[in-house]
Amino acid sequence: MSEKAAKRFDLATQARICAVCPNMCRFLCPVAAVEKIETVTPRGKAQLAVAVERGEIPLSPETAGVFYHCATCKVCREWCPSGVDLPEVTGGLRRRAAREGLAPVAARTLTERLLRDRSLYLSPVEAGGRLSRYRELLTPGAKVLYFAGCSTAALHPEIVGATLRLFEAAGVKVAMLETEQCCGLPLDVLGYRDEAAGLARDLAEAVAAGGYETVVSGCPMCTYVFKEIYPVLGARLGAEVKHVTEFFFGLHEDGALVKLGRKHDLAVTYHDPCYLGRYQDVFDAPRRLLSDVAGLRLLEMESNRGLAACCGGAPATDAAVPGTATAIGARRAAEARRTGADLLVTACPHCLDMLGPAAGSGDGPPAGPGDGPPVRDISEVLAERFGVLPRR
Amino acid sequence: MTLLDDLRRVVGPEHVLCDEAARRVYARDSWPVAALRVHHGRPLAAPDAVVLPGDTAEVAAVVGLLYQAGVPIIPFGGGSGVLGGTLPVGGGVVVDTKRLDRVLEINDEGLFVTAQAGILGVDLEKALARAGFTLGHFPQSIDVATIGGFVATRSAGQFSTKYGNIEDIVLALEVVLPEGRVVRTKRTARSSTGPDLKNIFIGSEGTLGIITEVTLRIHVRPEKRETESYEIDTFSEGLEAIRRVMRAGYRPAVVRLYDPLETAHSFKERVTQGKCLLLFVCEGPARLVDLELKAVDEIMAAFPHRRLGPEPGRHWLETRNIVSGLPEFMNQGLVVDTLEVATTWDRVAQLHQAVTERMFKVKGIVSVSAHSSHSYTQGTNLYVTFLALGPDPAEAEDVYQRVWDAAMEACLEVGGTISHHHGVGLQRVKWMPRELGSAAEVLVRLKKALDPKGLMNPGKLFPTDGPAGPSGPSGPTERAGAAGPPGQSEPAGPAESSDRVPGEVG
Repeated sequence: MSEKAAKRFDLATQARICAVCPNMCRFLCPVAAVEKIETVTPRGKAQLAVAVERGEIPLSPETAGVFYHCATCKVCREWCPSGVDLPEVTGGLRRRAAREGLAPVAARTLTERLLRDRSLYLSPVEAGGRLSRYRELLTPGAKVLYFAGCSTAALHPEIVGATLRLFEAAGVKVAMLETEQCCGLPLDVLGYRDEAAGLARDLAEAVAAGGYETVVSGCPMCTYVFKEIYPVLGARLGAEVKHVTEFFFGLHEDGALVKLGRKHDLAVTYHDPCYLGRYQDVFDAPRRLLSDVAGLRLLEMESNRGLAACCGGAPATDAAVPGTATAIGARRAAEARRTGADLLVTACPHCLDMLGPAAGSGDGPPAGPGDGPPVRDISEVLAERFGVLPRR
Repeated sequence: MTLLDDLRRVVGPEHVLCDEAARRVYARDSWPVAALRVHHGRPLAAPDAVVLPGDTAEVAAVVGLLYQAGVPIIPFGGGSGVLGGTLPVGGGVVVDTKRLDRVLEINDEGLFVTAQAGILGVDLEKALARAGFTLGHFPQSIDVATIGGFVATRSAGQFSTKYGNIEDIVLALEVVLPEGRVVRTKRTARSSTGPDLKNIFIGSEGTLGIITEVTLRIHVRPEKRETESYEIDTFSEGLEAIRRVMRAGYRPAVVRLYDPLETAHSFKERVTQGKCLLLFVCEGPARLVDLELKAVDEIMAAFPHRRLGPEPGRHWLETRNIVSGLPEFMNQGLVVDTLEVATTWDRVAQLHQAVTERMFKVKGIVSVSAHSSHSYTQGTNLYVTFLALGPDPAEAEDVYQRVWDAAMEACLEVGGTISHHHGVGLQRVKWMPRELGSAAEVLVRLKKALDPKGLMNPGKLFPTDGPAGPSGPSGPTERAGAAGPPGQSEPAGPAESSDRVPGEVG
């Protein structure tokens, strides 16, 4: 973000500024690029947000639907010289839509399912069953809690195994919750903040009861919501929160994770998950883990770091306009392909699903577009390089 | 079967938008008057519907249906125009071309690219860059405008001094004429077969047809790019330095001269207060770049100056497309806009003085500043930025128009052209008869021949009598009945106010 963006306006002013801007960020907006209509450009959404807030037009199901055509990727905010945070503006309208029963059917359906199952995918009990094979890697009473997150636990249990073996290789004792549940972020993004708060408080209570010092997760949506939204929702974890890339890079800097050196000629490209990069400012740790620590050849995509293109995997787009989300993923996969890398690595289970065929047990959401190189999670790639997992 | 049903059959139901959100968003572009209306919650005329065809055949079918039904047709690209060129002043149907966004051919041997007209400039440039080429056309709107829009508005890029403006770059066009017929001009390096017909459509602003495919000259990516800047005492000395560089036959890609106010605004801490910045970017074969920079430096020796090195140029390259002033100022009750005029070297100083002095006299004006950014052997442009007080809605539009009146009148009086590269849209229509003078008749006859019903982008470019005038043909409500069931395409809410549309102001 530019220096000017540090200057903050309140959300209403941000919307007004965006509504009269020449729409200079539109080329970065993944939804606008895919849907190709003015209504969903950043300026279009801001103009409607202002009109709704002023009562010039009613918030109807039709108008409310427009505010779900947002990937919440925040690339527009990153670019904006005025620091306008449009996903926050549209988020406010999604909350109002949810309160007034105007949210799209898909958002309501997902919310009902999440509240019933407390997970995006399998029920927590079923997911826990899948992870039982890793129980021997856990240490009851450990000070570090590994939180897999519902997407990883249900669709990518092998990532859980890889991550736990990395902890073991680094000499870090970890525990997991007996039963995990959704962190609440999808509900919050879809506009159901009160419902998200309920889930958040339940989860926070379970975590706090364990007396952990650190909570580590490989899901950036979980770590973001723990760090930034839980305090707003009144949910206290009582522990420091780190994404696995932050945690393992910290171990490396402390000398606990030995550098492997540049011994491998595998070329990888790294996709910045929006919720890890732009939301949590974690750009260097995954790259340095891949290049400095694992010795892989890192090729950057045309768009990377702060301006990295989104994969479409965030809940608002993915749930409400799945066709748009898939097309956004295909664009990013094509960008990865153009690097010529052997492997596309990311650090988010949702990105994993959007950018390539699901690497998990095969019963997850529809496979991604498969237009890029094979896609892997960073924990698995690191575990293989450290020899704690056999190479696939 | 209604017209809307017919349109849906052609493009698919999901590509015909009649919802309030779409009609509201497509009611404006980046014209500050439209922005003021949005900001103050004042009415803008909305289109009855928006149609998004997927290829040339669909554009032709859509245009044919609309023309036959007597419905105004408003071509739409990126909506980045700053003069109201896409505003549906009398309702009608917006035809958005952004689904026509494929690069069809990059020809290495012939050094040209053919692309559909709805691709954003930035996406075309990226595709070319990946293949080792550049278009060399970098308007500030490159990230938000389509190449069809570049052509339709006769745009200029920041690197135009080397690569030319869009009229120098277009090799061939495909255009859908008002009645729905498709015409293509031949792709050739040059031709001596009568008037160059593609030029009829370059700058036609959607009033003569819809551009659907464009073939453009491309260049091998430059081997080297260097910048050099100079602090110079006065704006007039800077203009004279540029004149000498151009006269000697050099063609830096970018030549920009800022007056003291703009210099202080954009290059504070780099230039002594009260002085001007003169910036050059040279690119191309390394030997040519080195030679050009050396020659520029020799020419500069004739003027008192301080050489500033490459840093100001790098700063400009990094920040050149960042625009935050307009929206932030508008939120502070100020009106800001830019306008661009041009003339030959013998009148440039006079044009600069006349335009800026006249604008300064307008009640409510806060600042007027200028730079020169597109130079030629025969002359240059002046890009003027103004800031005025407009705390309440009516006052804001009034002061805006008074500043424009002052600038345009002064420009015409000294023989300048009223637009260098933004085009005409709605904002400049009233000065077009004087701008074109006796040649205006050619444009009027052309319009009547190609668009006898006056349905193509009504109200834009030229104040013709009859159906093509700003008041347009039948009102939107009347047409809505023909277009579809009540309520489906009928304008609603504030958009249907009897308030005059911005195009009719003044």
